Amino acid sequence: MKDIERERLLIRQYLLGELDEHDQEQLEQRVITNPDYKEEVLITEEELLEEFVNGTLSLRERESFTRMYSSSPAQRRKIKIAQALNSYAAEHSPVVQPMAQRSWAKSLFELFSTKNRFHQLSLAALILVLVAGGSILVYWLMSHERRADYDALLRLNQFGSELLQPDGSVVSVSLPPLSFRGTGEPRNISLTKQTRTVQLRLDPSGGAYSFRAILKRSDGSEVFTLEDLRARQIDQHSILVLQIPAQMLTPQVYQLEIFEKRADATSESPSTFPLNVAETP
Amino acid sequence: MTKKWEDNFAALLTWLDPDPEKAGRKYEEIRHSLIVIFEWRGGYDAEDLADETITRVLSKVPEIVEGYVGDPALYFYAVAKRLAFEVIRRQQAKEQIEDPEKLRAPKIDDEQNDREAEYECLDKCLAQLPAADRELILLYYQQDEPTISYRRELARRYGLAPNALRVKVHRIRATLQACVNKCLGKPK
Repeated sequence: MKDIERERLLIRQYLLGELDEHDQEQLEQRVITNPDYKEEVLITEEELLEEFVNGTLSLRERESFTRMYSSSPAQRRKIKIAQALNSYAAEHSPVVQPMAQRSWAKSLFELFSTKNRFHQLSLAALILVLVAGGSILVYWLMSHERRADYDALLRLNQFGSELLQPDGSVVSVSLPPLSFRGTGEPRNISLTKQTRTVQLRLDPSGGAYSFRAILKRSDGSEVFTLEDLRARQIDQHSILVLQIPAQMLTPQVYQLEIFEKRADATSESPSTFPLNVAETP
Repeated sequence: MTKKWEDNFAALLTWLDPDPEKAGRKYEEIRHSLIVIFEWRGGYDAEDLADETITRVLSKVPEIVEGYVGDPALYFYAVAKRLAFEVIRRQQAKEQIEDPEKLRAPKIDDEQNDREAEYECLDKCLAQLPAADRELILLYYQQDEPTISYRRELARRYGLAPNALRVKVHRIRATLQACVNKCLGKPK
């Protein structure tokens, strides 16, 4: 276990009342003499509160947490604020609410019917604002769509996610083993209207702990980065599988970069695989 | 406030740091640390206990300043620890006298009455945050079960390392929590 993980575990145990007197004192002495350490304990406490509110604590942790956090009004208040913040955030998208339609309509009518120069200037300014607002709205819609795509990508590749079987909606392509360090001829990927997911498989061969995948467009811009990909065991073989929602891809040549990350957090230079995506009717 | 108290307080600040500004900051830092430690230990009124600790240290300042070696914060901690033991002993003695049924840990959801007030305060306090901070904290807590990947992507979008994002969100949340507590008329 890394030092930082061990430290966080110790802090969790402290907050859950699971440390012995000696360790508890050691930790509290660090809290009172080191503001950065105190901040780390406070952050860990917020994360514990969040896990409690979301119901993701283990049964044992939940029992300890309930014992520790029901003992005083201040502790109970922390739970209530965490609950309020979580439900507030779930209900409130951080997007500026549109103004009421009626007042817009009324103002527009008044502006269009006036002959006053000031109002005419105001009308011009309003049109400018509307154009700018429209652009922002279009940008927001596009970024919202991108976020949905990225969320789908994360779901398809998170640890323990389903391995999709190739069929009409899943196109599976094998890439050269990672030990070849990529390059070579581009692999062709044909998308049809039915294609929902593109699945890339390669032999990771080596002792990598996890992988980072970066997909880049032909102009070098990034489509996505995925961290902490793990190889899967398929028919007693270790295979690295990357599952990409088809709507993230358009016809062009992409570069897929795979970085191997070792347990000590070091990584080697990436293996690059060109992918030629085309659409077929 | 007596003259002796004032003299002791001045001596305490000088003990913490010869620079009055730094001493003031260190004093606040120690007081806050004492409050959170008492809270984590389940102290019923952590703020009062922190102030009681400081009062006890103040009364000893003239005797200890000369010969004391090390971080003064550790002296505060030693006094706080003794006070915590006294409080536990007092609570235990009280529990033996009172009806044990009534002394069971109160349920977490036994204070639902002021939920609306909390929500209103949260709304008001979020509105007081800079727009970028408000957006970040809402995005950070938006998922029902936040995944590590989601937050890592959020950090990437904000151009921050994942731990820097944790710290940033914590600081926004601390501001928010202080505002909500003030709005609800509660300490800290």
